[in-house]
Amino acid sequence: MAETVRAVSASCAFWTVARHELLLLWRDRSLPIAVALLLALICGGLYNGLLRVDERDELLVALLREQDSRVDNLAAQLRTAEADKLDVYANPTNPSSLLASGAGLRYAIMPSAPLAPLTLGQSDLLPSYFRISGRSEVNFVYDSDIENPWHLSAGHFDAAYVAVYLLPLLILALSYNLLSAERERGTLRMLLAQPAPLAVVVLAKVAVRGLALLTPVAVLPLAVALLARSASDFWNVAASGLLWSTSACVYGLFWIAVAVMVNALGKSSAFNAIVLAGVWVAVVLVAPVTLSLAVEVIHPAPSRIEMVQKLHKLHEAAMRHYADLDRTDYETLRDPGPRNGKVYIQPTTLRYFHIQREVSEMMRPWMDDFEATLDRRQQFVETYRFLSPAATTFEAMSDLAGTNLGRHRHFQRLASDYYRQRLSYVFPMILSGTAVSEADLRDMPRFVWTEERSGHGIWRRATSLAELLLLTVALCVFSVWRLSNSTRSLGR
Amino acid sequence: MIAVVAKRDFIGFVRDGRFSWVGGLALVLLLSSIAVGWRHHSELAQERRAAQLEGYETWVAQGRKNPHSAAHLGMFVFKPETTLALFDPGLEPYVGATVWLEAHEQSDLKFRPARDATGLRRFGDLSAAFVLQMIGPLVVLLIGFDAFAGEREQGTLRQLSSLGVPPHRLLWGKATAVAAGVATLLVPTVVLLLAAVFASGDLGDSLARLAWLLLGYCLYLGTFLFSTLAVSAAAPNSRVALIVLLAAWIVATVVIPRAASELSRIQYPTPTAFAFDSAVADGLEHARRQALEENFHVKRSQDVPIEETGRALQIDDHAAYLVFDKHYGALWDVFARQQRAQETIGLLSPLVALRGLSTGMAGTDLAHQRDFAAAAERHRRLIQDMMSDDRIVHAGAEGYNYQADAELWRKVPPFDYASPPSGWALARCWPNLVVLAAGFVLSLLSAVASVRRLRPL
Repeated sequence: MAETVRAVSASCAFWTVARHELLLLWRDRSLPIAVALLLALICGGLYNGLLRVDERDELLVALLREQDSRVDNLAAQLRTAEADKLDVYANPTNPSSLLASGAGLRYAIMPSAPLAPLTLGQSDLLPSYFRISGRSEVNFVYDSDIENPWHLSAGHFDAAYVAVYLLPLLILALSYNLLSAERERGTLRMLLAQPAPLAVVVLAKVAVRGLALLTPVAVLPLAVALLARSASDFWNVAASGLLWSTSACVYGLFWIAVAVMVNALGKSSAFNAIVLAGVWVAVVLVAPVTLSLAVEVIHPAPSRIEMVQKLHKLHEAAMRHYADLDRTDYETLRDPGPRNGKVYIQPTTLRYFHIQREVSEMMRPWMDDFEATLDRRQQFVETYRFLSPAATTFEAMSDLAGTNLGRHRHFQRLASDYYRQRLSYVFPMILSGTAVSEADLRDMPRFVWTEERSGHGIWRRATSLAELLLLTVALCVFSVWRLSNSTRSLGR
Repeated sequence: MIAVVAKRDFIGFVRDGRFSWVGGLALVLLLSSIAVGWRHHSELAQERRAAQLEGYETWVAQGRKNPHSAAHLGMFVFKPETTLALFDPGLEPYVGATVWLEAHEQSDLKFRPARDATGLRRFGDLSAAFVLQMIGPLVVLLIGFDAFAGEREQGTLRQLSSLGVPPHRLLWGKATAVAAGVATLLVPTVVLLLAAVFASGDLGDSLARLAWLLLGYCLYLGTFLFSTLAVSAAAPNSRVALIVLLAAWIVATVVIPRAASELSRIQYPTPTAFAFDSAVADGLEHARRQALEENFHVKRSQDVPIEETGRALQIDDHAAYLVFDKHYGALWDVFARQQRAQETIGLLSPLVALRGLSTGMAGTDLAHQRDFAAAAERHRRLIQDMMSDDRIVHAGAEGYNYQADAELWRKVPPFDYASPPSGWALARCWPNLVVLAAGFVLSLLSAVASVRRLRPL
């Protein structure tokens, strides 16, 4: 009976304090200003995210349109090839035209994921399309799109940036003096005189702040993603979006828990502000870059210089292997189109494709090692991500938005497979000098994008969220213990 | 009197633990980032030198072949790291330092290191410049926020006033104390950088660059120092001073640089590689066709007489040079306009100006990248012209089937690039220095004005 009475009185106290706190924060304008600022920042981040992703989507559509136009043009030339007087360098029936960097160029395209505008992640560093021709694999897989390095170094202003960098600051600005201000004003003693435990009072105070600040972060990006981006699989997108919002909320809760814990130490407002600013610097600025530095020291990235040296040597060796083909057959230079299903392939053309294929095959083991090292680096980050909740949250958000390294690595593997399929299809035709028909062109392998199996990614993100939640709960438990055991000292 | 105030304040923030914690952490980060940067820099510099030498040897040893075929092998060249890149790697991780000099095509700088990084790269790079730019101001404001406001709360400001201590002496005393705290970060940094400069053997120019860097960082941290004292003198209490200063620090170092970067990109959009390549390809096609028609009165390259193919190749190359100059020049100009727009928006934050100066003096900014790319392209053209000249002179009726030997490859000089001198760098980033100096003077004036209106109660 006594416990029920205590629970009811605690519940009443909770609602009373929460109402009172809301009124105070509203009247001194700190809450409306913080919420308006947060809304403006989120809207700015979302606008910028949508702008960047729309630009990229338009580019991908333009690429496909340009590719289709080239294929249609080549098909039309192939239909009339027998009748025309052909230029040997632009002979459409020449099988090398299927791999040439003009007519034979194909794009491997990775579409933007529905949540991409929320977290632009590494989308500016990692290309969303590859230009695949007859050139060796190493020539296209490490390509990048053009971008001002200042922009690459500054990073994006998107919803994830607002959630990871700025949301904690707003939480801390509203919560750094939860109890210390009461004590400095002399009102804490009055609060302690109430029948409700101090932990309930603090809970009511942070609930108001948390609800006001976390609701926009949880709802607005999700709503924009669902409304602005058409997705074929609505429920899957909604589930990912919900997980994105949950990540933001759990991260926000972590910062609320940090603020409560520091307040529970019973120090002055200035002390709280210094410590909380220090924690923010440590978690958001220092820990991720220190972890990044640790990765570079413990698992250094494979040397690109070494790769370039190897590539140059292999290229030179391949040139030697096919030195006998390094000649132009001027007699056949003005050769017209196909004769009896065969075309004459210039020795230099044959040599070019031999060299590119050889370089590609010889570089493959090095590239595999390179990918394995990158995997080890990412694994290291996954293992120690708990050291920075900011990094954990950002990684989770990038993962869900499909702008992380993992999805790009999957894309790169698909593009490499596609390159090899094309080569297997066309190279025998080049070797045998088989004239290409329109049917050959239409039957050429096409690049098909398939998403990586999402089960593993969702499990990984759920685990990191659980870790962060666990840390938050531990901070809360410590704070409750501290508040319960030092009520008297706090009131002084 | 100034020395007495400075000593008392310095001992005060050392004793209350603030300086030990924040300054100690900053110093550890600073020293470790310099140590790691130094190691990385030494390895990279050596690796690049060795690779370039080996690449040249491969070029020379390529055996008999057609000169144009040799031009297709080309060579890779590497941007040498300046010594001060270990302090501020700047844009290096986002540009790439390798250019392939091959026939027909002007190549971009390849292989951005940031592309091989983990997702954590988005949080920045731990370099000494990062620590001084981000954590340095935080150290200043955490040790200085209560310089006046704290004295007022404790009642000691009233005592000092009653003793007849002039407010401006108080200001200089407190400024000296905070500056002494900052010096504990700057002095070891400068000593280590001097050691690195002496170890590299590149004394004259690096020392001049280091001096300008030091001036820039002093102005930057000085701006925060006097702003902190101005706010501390004007604020009703130390809590308000701290909150205002923390908010200003976050806006200046975290929000404005990123927002300025995004806004400059919206104002001057970067062309996509697709649009850029298409424009270059169209330009090349037109220029080549025109050159062929004007010089040989034919429409197709295979209609050029065999003995003229060497000259045709050279004419074709020269027509392409103009197209590359036009399009690459326009691209670099877009980058430069974006940077200027960024710096204009960034007038609100001294960090944007400092980054321009710091990367400029460390040799890791856009201007240095552009200079290297231009030098690499000049070398590519030299190789192309030498190969074509030889073919024009010796090929005759053999055309493409003529073969040259190692004597020709040896005539091509190795690529030898040296970073431009400090004066060249300063000529490009003096506006940043002016902005920093203006910010410093403004903060100093605001501190003097605040102290004049100082209320002891």
